[in-house]
Amino acid sequence: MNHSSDNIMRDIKILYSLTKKDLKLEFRSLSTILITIVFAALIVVLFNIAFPFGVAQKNEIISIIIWVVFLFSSLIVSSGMIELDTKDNSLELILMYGIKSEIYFLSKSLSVFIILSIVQLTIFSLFYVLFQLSFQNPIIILVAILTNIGISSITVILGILSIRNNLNQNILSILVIPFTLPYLLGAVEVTNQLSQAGNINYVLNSIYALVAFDLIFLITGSILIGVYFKLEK
Amino acid sequence: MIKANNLSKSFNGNRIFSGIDLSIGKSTVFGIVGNNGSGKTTLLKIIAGLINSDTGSIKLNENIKLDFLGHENMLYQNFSILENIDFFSDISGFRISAESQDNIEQALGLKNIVKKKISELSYGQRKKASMLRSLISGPDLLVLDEPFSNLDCESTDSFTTILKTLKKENKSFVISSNRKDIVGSISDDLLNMEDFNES
Repeated sequence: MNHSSDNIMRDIKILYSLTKKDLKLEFRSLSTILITIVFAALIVVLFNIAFPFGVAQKNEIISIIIWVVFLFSSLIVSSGMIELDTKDNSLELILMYGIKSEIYFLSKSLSVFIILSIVQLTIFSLFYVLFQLSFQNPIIILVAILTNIGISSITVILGILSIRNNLNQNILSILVIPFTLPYLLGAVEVTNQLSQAGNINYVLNSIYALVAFDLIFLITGSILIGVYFKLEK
Repeated sequence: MIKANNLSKSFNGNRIFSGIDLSIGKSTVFGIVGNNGSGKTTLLKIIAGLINSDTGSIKLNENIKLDFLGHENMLYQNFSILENIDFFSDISGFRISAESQDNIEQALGLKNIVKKKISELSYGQRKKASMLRSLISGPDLLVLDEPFSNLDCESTDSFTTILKTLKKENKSFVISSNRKDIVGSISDDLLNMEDFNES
């Protein structure tokens, strides 16, 4: 019993050290955050010009734009976070020290989640300012967090596979779309419903689906990355 | 401490080496020499457990602390030397005493620059920072890939002195180099990769 609780404590400590390292490196250079925020801001401003206020079905269009911008921002963030360890091959040392692949995967997903949350906050603020989009219902925060968890884990899985195999970044963008489609459809629908003060029961069903997808991708990601690191040896 | 039998490795169908047997005991410096492309780095990575061999087996004694110093410095460029050391110590769970760390920093001439970022250091200083990182966990077996390349004579001497001191403390080393003269002079046992390359 003591031995297993010691192991859990050690895993948590390593998870904390890995995540702290990622965030410290990112906040020091701000390279990924700045690129992502500039990218997101440009798209939001362009759409603001393309869809002037008063256009029919504004809420539907904005709900789609929010999550598409967020999806492509997540690709930039996850690539940047994974490259922190692959650029100078420090990942080899991390693996040599016997760090469990699932702990590495969870720490990377957590780092991407935190950075993405900052980007997401900026995107929502921009939409509020430029499109006067406001959400009366705080459930949107829960939806944003759940979607963020799923997209972070998917982009980390695909990011590790593509970067370790020296695949082109464009391939990551193509690979990520079919996997994130369930999230995007759910998130767009919920955002649309909430921005129009829609049916809360309908929203709850989508939230359950998002929770289920999060669990599926976090568990399969942990297993898949472990198998991949073993095969890579 | 470590025993390997019949190791071989191929990449894309090309056999790099085959039939390597080796045995490394306590307090030993084991040298691996060979020309570029002879498979020294690959063999070291197999010994360090970073990659698997195609054939054969490798056995390490239980509870051996092993560390690896690669070609690349494997350090985070935006972290200082100390931040890198703190991070890798945290995840490995091992760290030598502050006094020993101080002595190694002094011997490698890093004492005054430990708070500098890796990106601000010269190539030689980065190499020494990697050496410091690899020694900080107090490994029983340290696997070093070309540790003397691009080092000045003074740094080579100070590093060799550190290795000799640690060897007296029952530590072992596997060192690869294409400089047979340097590795030969400090090794107890020498393996020439060319004897195991496919001709």
